[in-house]
Amino acid sequence: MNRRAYLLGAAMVLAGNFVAVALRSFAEGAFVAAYGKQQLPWLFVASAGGFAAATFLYDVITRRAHARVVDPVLIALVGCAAAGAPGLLHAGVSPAVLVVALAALSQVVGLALWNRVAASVAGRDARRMLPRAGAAVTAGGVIAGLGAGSLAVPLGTAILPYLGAAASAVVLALAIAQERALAAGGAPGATAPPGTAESLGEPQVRLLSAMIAVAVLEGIVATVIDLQFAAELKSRYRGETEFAVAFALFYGGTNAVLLLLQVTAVPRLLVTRSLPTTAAIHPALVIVWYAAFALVPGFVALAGTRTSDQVLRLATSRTAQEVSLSAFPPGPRARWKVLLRGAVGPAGAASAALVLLLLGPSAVEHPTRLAALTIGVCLVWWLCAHAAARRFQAALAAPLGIAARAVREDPTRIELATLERWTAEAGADDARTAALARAALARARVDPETLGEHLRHDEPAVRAALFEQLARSPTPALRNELRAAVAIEEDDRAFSLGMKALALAGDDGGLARGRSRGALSRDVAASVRSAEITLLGGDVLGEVGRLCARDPGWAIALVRTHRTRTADDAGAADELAAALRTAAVDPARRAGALAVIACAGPAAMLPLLDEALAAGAPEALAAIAALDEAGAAMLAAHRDQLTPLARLAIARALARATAGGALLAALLGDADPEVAHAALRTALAFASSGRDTSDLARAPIAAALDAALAALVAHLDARDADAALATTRPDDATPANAANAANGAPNATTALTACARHELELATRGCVARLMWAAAVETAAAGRDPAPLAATARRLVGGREPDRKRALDVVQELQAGRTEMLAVIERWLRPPVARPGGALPGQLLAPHDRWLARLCDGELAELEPALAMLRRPALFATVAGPALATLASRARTREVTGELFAAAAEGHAMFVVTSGALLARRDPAPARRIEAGGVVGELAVLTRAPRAATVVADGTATVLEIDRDTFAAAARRAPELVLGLSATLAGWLAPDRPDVL
Amino acid sequence: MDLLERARALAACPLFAELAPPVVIRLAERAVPRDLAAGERRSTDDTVWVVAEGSMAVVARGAAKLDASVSSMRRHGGTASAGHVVGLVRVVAPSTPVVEAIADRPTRVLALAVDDVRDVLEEDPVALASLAGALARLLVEGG
Repeated sequence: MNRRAYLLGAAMVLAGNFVAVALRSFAEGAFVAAYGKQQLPWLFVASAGGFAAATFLYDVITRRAHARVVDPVLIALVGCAAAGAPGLLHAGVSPAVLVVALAALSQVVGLALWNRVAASVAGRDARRMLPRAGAAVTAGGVIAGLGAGSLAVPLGTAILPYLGAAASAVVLALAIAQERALAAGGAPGATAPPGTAESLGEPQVRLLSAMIAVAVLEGIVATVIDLQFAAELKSRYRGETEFAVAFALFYGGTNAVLLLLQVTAVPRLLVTRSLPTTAAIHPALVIVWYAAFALVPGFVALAGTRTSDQVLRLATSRTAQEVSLSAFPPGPRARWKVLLRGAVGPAGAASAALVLLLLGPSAVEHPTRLAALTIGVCLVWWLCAHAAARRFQAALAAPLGIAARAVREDPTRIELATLERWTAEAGADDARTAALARAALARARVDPETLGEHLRHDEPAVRAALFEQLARSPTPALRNELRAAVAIEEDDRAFSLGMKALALAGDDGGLARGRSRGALSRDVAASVRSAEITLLGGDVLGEVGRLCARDPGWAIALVRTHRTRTADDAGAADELAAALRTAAVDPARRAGALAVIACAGPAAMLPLLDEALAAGAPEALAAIAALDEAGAAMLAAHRDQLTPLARLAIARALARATAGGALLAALLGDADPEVAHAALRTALAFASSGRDTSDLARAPIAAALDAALAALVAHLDARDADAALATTRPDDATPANAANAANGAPNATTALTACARHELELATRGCVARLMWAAAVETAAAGRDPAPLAATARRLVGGREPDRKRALDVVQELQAGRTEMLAVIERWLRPPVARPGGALPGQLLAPHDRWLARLCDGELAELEPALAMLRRPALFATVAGPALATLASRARTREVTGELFAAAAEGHAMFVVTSGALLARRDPAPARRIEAGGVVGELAVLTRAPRAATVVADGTATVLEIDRDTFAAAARRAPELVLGLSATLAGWLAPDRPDVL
Repeated sequence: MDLLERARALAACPLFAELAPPVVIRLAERAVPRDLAAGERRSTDDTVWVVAEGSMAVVARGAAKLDASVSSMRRHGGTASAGHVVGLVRVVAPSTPVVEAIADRPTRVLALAVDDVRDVLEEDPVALASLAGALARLLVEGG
């Protein structure tokens, strides 16, 4: 914001509107004196038409000459016209011409001056400050209106043009000063961010068409209201001067109300509410008042209608238009601001006035009929305003690549025809196709209501798939159909699955036939044994062990049944735990054992699952991805027994699950910030992919959002506290120093180290992302598409500065009711503010991020050099602090003289240069120098490919060695590490492979 | 294209060859098939394009004129035929130049939002490592 230019501009528009209102009051009084009140409607038509014509002319001139040259000439012209107006009238110039010319000229000047004020502010500053500049405009009108009304009585209206001329001279001086201030301090509102388009794109053209419709309709409604009100005033105030005074006083009074709104409510409205809300206020209240007038015709209702229209046109509609135009590049924005307000709106007004005049007195003789008709126009206006607001949201988000998407249906729900195709593919000769089909089938669900009629399908593979689905999700209503289908099933595989479905439903319908068929088929015999033990008991633990290898899903069901039956047997749980422990060490049964523990317990085995999850074992993650709702509920109840690393792995793995909403909901409120953050990302994935989000609706999302907000505020407070410490001397008497002295602690009054400050900045950015994910999840739980908000979060956290500010505006449009979120994010985007006398950064952070608090308190000082060095390569730039710290603690420091590794040798590690330099030689290319902070050998942590170059030290160098296992362990905790590595590889690849760019 | 057909088209891409079937299925759930007529243009501003059938001439934005012909784009860039993925790198490196593509014949593509691809990869560390490994192999093979 250019503060000096803004203040000069505000003074300029105040004086400018004083001129405009003073001249308008004089001119209309002269018109009435010459032609009588009955000709006022023609004045409306002529003024509106004159304004539109003058605006078009201004547009044409400013497309050839710069506004900074044209505007001062116009201001001077207004001043001369004002000073000469009384003389011109005496000389016989037509009052009509004079009125139209003065009004048009002063109004065009007003538009031009407004563009100059708007050039001094941009973005959210514009939303906050332009309404206050509008208040200055209104103040000018109040002074002129009330003053004119007061002065006209003793001195006559002839004093007004001379006052206008004098004020014009002030306006001219201010305009010149403001132009200089803009040149010296910049014009943020008139400068496009680098790399942005200068012309209107398709979303902006659509927005413009809606804004034109709104401007026309607004002009029509305003004219009808004005004419009705003027007719009412004429009937009350018969004398010319009385009428003029009444009009001026009313004008001044409404401006006083407007002034109050512009200073207080409107700025807050523009930075907290979405545009559809803001744009709806004006048409809605006009409809309400006009409806009241239609029901109870009278001066009060009509005055209320006109006041609402006059005040809200400038308070909300004009500001909504200003906000909408912010989606345009600066050039078209300034141009269309003038055209919409000076030409399009007045054109609508002139058209309405012309129609009313052609209708004659009958138009105002039936006021309620006219009011009803106008209400109809207002409804259309309201719809257009809403459409314009929606198009603004699209135009605002478009440059960030954010667009609303079609609602996704649940991809796991399929029709029978699809199931038939997929089961056929599952038996395909091509292994990859068959694997894909099986993976698709594993997630698929056919509507149970249609399932029953297809259990006797012609294809055995289809019958098998349907039986398998019934085994996964027993449906009591289909029990009889299932029994009947299994009774006649001839295919061994389908029969086995049918028997499983019956057994898991507690039905022994297939057993008898199964026993006889089992003699001929090993698979059927195995299923019969499992079914018998499930239904009748027996060697349950042995069967669980066998099923861990053959059919983990059945093992889970069997364990649940067994635990229910032996709930009172203390020893049974220990025996089960022993059986599972044995199975878990067998590679063939480990995956099944972990799946059983995850879904069915017992709780005593959770440490085993915990250990596997923390290590990132694929079978443990698969167990989480395969959780059903009962398993998710069990883990949710015992989640406190799991370590943060395990809970983090669960939160991420649930993104691949089709169920598990209850567990996810529980993790949303996790005390560990990494876990909560991961749970929020997964909740968003659930919502974005069309999966069932009914559990999310019941989840403590509000609490998760509050926690995210509190964490962000704490990080920002810590940032401000650090800024204060940076300006505080050690012996200053501050509460922090006194507290430390009382505790016997060293005087921790120095600011954070560079490393801690950088980690705080990164963690704060992570808090912003977490807050945005929470807002997106809340949006999803409310039944709306969270994708735009999630995409905005990425731009907000990772985008360029202009994109981040635009993203914040998009957040305002998309979020529902959490206005405090906007203020906090805006605080993040501004530099820190030193706030002396408060708590230390570590104390502020401790409740939210224990690791970062320790770093800020200096407890991890020995780790800081390695941490700082690892932050330098782009590869590690966005890795979460605790994960990077773990990597740093496991990396090995080596001193290198001579060769580090040779070309063609097998690589096992990557190296980060901490001091000195390395040289990479790959003939025939010249040697590449890698300075401190650079990385070599990255490919070795991903592939076993031979080294591409020979790397030697240039003298003596020190490196951090990160081997493949260390990197893999860190990557399991921080996937962004692999993203960073991929980005590095992509950078090397990009120039040569546009097909994968 | 149903889900399985989309998954098969994705699995045919060398870059996705190492991804586990469940990951490919999750990508396919988010993929939207599009049929492009010859001459239709697309870009990778916020979308990854997987060529299922047909081919497209591709070039980094700025390397050829905005209205460049197919042959001109091919001359300055390259060709993406069935099994090629255009714009995937922007998933991991957003600062990578946008690619302009034009179908040189009727072409069927799968559109994946960059954000969606990133989500799927971040959900699954193994998938992420597979992609990184595929990129690394491309580099090593000099392809």
